[in-house]
Amino acid sequence: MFLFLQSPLTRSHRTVRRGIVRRYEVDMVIVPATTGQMGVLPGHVATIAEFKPGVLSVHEGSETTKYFVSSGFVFIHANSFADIITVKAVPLDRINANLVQKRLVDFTQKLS
Amino acid sequence: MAMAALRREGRRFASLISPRPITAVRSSPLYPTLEDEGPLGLRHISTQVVRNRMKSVKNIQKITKAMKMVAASKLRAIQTKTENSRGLWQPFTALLGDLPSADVKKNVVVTISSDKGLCGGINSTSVKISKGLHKLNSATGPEKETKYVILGEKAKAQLVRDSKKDIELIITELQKNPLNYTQVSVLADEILKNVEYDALRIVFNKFQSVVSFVPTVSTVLSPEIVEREAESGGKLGDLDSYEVEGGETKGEILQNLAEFQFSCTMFNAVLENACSEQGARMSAMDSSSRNAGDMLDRLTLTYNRTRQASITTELIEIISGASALEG
Repeated sequence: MFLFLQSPLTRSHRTVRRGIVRRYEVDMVIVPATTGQMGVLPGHVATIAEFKPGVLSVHEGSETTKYFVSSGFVFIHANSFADIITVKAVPLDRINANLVQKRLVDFTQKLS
Repeated sequence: MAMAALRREGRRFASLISPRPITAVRSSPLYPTLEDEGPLGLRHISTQVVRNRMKSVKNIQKITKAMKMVAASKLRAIQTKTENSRGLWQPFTALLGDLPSADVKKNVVVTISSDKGLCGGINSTSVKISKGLHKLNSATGPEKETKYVILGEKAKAQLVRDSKKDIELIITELQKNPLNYTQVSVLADEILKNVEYDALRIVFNKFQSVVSFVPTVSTVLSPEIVEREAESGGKLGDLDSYEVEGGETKGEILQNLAEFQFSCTMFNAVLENACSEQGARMSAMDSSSRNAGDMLDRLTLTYNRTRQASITTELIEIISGASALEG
């Protein structure tokens, strides 16, 4: 099935911004919907789903690419096309775990 | 120096023979004249005036050339962003369609314009279209109301004049910081909170190429209207075939969807308009420089003519003075 991944900016930990519009032909996508992890395969019923921030994994044959996505929507069309629209989508390998932890602590402090 | 001395001599003699003795007093070398009178009372503009004019036109040409370069570099910077943002609203349009003909009671026209001027006619076209939309909507029925939300100084200046009571929100200085999605989404949030709407129509200039900007209207419908249109069939008819997953009710999801759609469309619209602004400024400044160049050519010709005429006049004076001495 075809998957369009759209987002207005991609941010690596160095804050480089780009938009991604990518068109994949994939076997399965796991989407972090608000009701839980949702697996989308070819032939899925047409759906509009909102998703919360989480990890999106794209399975292409034996390869899996994982992205961290902020909230957004996924439209699954009847002809096995899926559009995923989010504000941010970052490939997981670009995320530096230590930096994230540090930032998390910083922001939690700022909030409280 | 020699010329000045000769001139003085010539004038002294010219005053004896010329039919107009007043000339000697008026055109003394210490008195700066703007108009010299030639032998037959012909008037020439002094070369000083023409030279000043040429200097200022040349400066203007330099400035407009520099502005064009600046606009070109700014354009390059936002063009990639704009092209990437085009993919944002396409899925929404694929799903929900863009229905400019939807008949609604509360229309809100969001006009996007620039803050700075010198960018050709793009702001005027946006305002013209917004006014047209207003007229169109009010013409179809008395209970229809159209409100404006204005982004940018230029549209504000034009719309405040005759539609002041219809303006809900005015937002300026959008481009102080580089445009990004966060800023636009906060903006969209403000608009959605403060303005009641059935349909939002965003008027902006779509960037097709460096020389072509097409005024465009993007329509975002409120969830209730989407429901209504879906029920009545037509383009949105198959919206019902989509299962809506997650959340509490379908209505809530559609509400979120509409808001997200609005912010994505706004983001794209703002970027496209910024691109069009820079492109229009480039072409406006380019034609300015060209006009300044033409003017400079014309002025140079006038200057040379004037200069040659004044030299000829002096020569005539000297020669006639000399011949008067001999004869």
